[in-house]
Amino acid sequence: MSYVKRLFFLVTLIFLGCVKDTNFDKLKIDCSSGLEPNKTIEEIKALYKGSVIQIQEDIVIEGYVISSDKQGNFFGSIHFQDTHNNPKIGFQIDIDGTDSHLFYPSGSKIILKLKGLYLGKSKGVLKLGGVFSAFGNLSVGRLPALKVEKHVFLMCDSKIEIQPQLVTLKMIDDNRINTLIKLKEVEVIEADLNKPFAEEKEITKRKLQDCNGDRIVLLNSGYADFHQEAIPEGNGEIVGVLLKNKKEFQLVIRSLEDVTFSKQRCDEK
Amino acid sequence: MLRSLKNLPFVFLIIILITAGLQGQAIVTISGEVLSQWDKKEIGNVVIEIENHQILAIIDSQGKFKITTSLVGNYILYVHAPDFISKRIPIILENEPVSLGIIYLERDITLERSENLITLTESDLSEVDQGSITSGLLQATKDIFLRRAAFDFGQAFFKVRGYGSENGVVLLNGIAMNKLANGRPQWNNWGGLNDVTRNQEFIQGLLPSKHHFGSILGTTNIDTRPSGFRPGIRISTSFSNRTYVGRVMATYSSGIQKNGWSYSVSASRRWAKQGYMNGTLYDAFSLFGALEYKINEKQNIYLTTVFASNRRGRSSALTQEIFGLIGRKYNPYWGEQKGEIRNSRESKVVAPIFMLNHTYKTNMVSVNTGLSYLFGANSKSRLGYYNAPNPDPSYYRNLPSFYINSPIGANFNNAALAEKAFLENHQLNWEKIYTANAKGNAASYVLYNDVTKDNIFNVKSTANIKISKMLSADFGFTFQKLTSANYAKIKDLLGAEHHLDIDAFSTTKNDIHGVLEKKTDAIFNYHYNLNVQEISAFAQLKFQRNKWNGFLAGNYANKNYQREGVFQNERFLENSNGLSFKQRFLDVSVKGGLGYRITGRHWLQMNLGNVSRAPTLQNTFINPRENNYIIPNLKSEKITTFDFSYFMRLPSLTGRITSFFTNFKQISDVNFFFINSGVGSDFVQEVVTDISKQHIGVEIGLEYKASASVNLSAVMGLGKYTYTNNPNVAINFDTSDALEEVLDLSGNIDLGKANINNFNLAQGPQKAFAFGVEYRDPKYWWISATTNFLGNNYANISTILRTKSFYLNPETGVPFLNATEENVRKALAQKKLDDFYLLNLVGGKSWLVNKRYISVFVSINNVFDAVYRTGGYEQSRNGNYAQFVKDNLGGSPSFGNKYWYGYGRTYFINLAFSF
Repeated sequence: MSYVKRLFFLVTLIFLGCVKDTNFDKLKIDCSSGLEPNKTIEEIKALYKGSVIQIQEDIVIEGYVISSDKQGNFFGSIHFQDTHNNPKIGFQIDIDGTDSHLFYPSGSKIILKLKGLYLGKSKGVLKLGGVFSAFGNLSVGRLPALKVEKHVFLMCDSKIEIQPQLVTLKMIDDNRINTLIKLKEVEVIEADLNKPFAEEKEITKRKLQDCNGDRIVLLNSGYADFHQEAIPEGNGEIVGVLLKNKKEFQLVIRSLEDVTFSKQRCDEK
Repeated sequence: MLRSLKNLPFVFLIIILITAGLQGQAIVTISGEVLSQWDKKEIGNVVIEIENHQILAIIDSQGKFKITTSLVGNYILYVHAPDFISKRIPIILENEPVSLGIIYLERDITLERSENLITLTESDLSEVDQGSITSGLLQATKDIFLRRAAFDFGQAFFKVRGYGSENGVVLLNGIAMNKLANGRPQWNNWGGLNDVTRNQEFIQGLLPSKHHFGSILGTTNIDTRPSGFRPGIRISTSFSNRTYVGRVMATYSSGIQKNGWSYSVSASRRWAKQGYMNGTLYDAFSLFGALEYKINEKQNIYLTTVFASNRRGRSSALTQEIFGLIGRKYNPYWGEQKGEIRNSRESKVVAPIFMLNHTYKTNMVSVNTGLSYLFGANSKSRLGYYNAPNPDPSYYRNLPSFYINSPIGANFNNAALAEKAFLENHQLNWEKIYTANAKGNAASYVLYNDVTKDNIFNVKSTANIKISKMLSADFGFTFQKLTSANYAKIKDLLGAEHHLDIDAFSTTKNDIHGVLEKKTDAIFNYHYNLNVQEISAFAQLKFQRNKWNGFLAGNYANKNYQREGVFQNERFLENSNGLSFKQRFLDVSVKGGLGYRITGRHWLQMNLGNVSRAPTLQNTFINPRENNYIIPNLKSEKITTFDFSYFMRLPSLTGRITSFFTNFKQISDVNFFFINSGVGSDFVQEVVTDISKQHIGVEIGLEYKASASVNLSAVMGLGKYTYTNNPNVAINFDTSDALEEVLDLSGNIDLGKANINNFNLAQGPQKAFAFGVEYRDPKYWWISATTNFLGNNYANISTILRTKSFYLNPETGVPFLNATEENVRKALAQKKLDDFYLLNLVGGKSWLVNKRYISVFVSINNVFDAVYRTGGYEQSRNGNYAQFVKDNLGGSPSFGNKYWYGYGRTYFINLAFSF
């Protein structure tokens, strides 16, 4: 029976063998991309000489995310500015994939590795991204989803509250594109009163005005979670990312929390 | 059962059975002695029979035999014993006694060959899409065609006669082990216990088993009685690159001791960090213990316990695009976490079995009674995503084809970027998943298990009665009760605080009365029980006479299914919880067969069966995770089958040719998928009812003994397996979708007939040829090579694409102008898989050292490393003509067929010691 003993020894040994069990420890998020920014956003924008280029150098920039696709009002782009406070410049990268807010939430600091990305101007605005060609002309398009994680890295030290720049409609200019701004004492124009933020499945333009009669487009997505809600009719503050389409400035909010129209309208004062 | 005209053949059969048995005969004596070649000692359990005709004697350990028979003519005496090479001795029975002297049997050194087969059944994924292989059922067959089908064609998912494994019955000590959910045998339940499950009896096709009415493919009974095992220790160890890389097995059997007790214990372990497919871990261990007591000469009682735990990583079917990018071993389900492979889709089966059997045996009657209790869980893990991107790296939006097939025109630049990204980045990204979950409280991703927890209780009793020399009868009774709990359970929150148990699409609660925020180990999403009760009884009569033999059998089954919802969900407030209607099935099946002996060496056999069986649980409830709905007007499946065989048993040439014809009618089928159909887009349950199928074909197997050591064999299987009608298709969906417009407020749409008549069934290759050479050297080594050709395999078609909804424009509800019959037929032509060749080599050697028996077995499958597909299926997503055409325009569809790939060159080495 000593065989039996040896056998059981062998069997026990093997039974302790080496396949990983189903329990994995919680993975600590490692955000040391090992990358240090070596250029500013201004320097990148200066690389653009009138046609789409693919960046070939090892360029790294940093920024603070100001947009969010959590509520679906943004889709397919991440907008970021150079600092969390008093930004001098903003920028955007167009990406494929949904729910990017899970990986690059609003307020977080990101590092971008630009080598391989495309830089170009579409509808008057400079941006980064992938590429597409229409009738032989290259344009910047959305970066394929699996490429995004190779170019955009989340930094851990962040989630800082971004202070939107308080501006008036008169102060809005190209330098503020892709930055987070706050407008005070504005309201929806009379023609858009009692309308929802957006029509179902349509990109919808509403207009805001201040008591001086200056106006700006409030751009909303028909896929946003809140698109059916009526725009509050009062006057007040609104925070959003400033965009531009050709000549037209547009404001895009992240969520309803960006809108506090609780005061009396200009004509009721 | 004899009332209808349909059963007329059976009436005739009875008449033949009775009239054929009325003549008397002279008696001849046959005598001799059976010894082992190696040690010239007696062998246990030697069976002496007239080949395929009647068993003359079973000699235990005395060696010498003297038997009498009333047969006259030229016959082949067939002498066989477990673990020994059987002998076929031509004899002439006239009036004089036959003395055979000493018959030496050689130890079967090719025994380990069955290991090869077992590795095949171990690769059976039991996935719904892949189907199941029937090889395991055929382990014990001696038939050359079935051996090729099992050992060589099995790796290509060839199915004998095109039947799925649900058409075979696997019994453990006489108790059926087929799973109630899908009707398939569960090899995993005793996987790794090869030493103690080797005593198998296989009854082919409709032929009668003494244990069970059986089914149309065959019946295998695994006998685990310890008194039947050779006493001693056997240790073996294996290395392979198939499903696992290593295996050890150890078994000790006591043999029958003087006090009447015998016992056997066995243990095994199999493991792999990854198997042939990337990221497929394997982690299994099994334990077995059996105890038998011989109460007296007539009665034995034995207890069997089996505990097998089997955990493995699963792999996926691939589209042509993905296969082209990465290759056949690619598996998107896993990713590395801190250097370890973590597979998001593991399956684990743990189902202990306790079994108590009693046998009573006299010369005339044998009664077997068994009780068994099986309990355990089958868990399949998945990565759920909630308001988060699909984590699957091979998701269609990540692939180059997404940019090629873009609705705004092909974008080749981005396609190139996407290809590069996918090549660099095609495994699951666990870090990204943890990053998403680290934000906020509720989980974006949850690793969970779909669990089925079964309790199966079985009682059965069979009686085998020898009425006369010519007539015998078998009776059996079975009661089976299953309670099965089904639910999803959170395995790992992946860093999140909790999971919000709501349906992300409709934002409705899954469990109204439960807490909304669920933690690790909580049951969420769905929870229901299934209760099944079955009573069945069979009776059969077997007859044997000089020229004729035959059988007739009938089975009655009463089965009922009931669902009990535990969760009440917000989408189906009325019928998600509580008891469903009790669905009852009453089934009567009959079968019979008749054999005619032209001479002792040539005979004919025909069999006829009319089987009625309840649909499986899977094909009864439409959406058991959410509600109590049962397929309306559900009927039992009806199978009619007929086969006719010619057998030849010459001294050096043996063979069989069989033609078969089988009809399946009233089959129902339930499938789940997301579809952009002509009537709208949604996640639907597709219910297909009243399907008819036909399997016709020919099987040929020939074996030629060219010399004492060389054996040649040739087999051919030719079949045509097709749909033979246009079944009905209906879709079901929930009506509480928040975002999408609801397709229809009633929650279901009848799409009418699906145009699938004459399409091929995806039941594996319908054409198979093999040629084999085997050499057995007198010095105890052997080698065998088979070359195999497999063809006419088809991808499974989607039924819903072949309904009228495919023609409709979902925007307008009217047919697309260019969706003509002709264009649709072209677009939906069935895809045939490529034909292929496989060369397999096996060999072994044995030594007897100090009374210890050592053997080595080596197998190399697919020597030329051929790339081949074993099966595939059409995706149903492109549910309208315009989208289908658009997706296929660029030649690389996002929702093209998915295929399973066979293994390349693989090896298996086994080293065994017995003492």
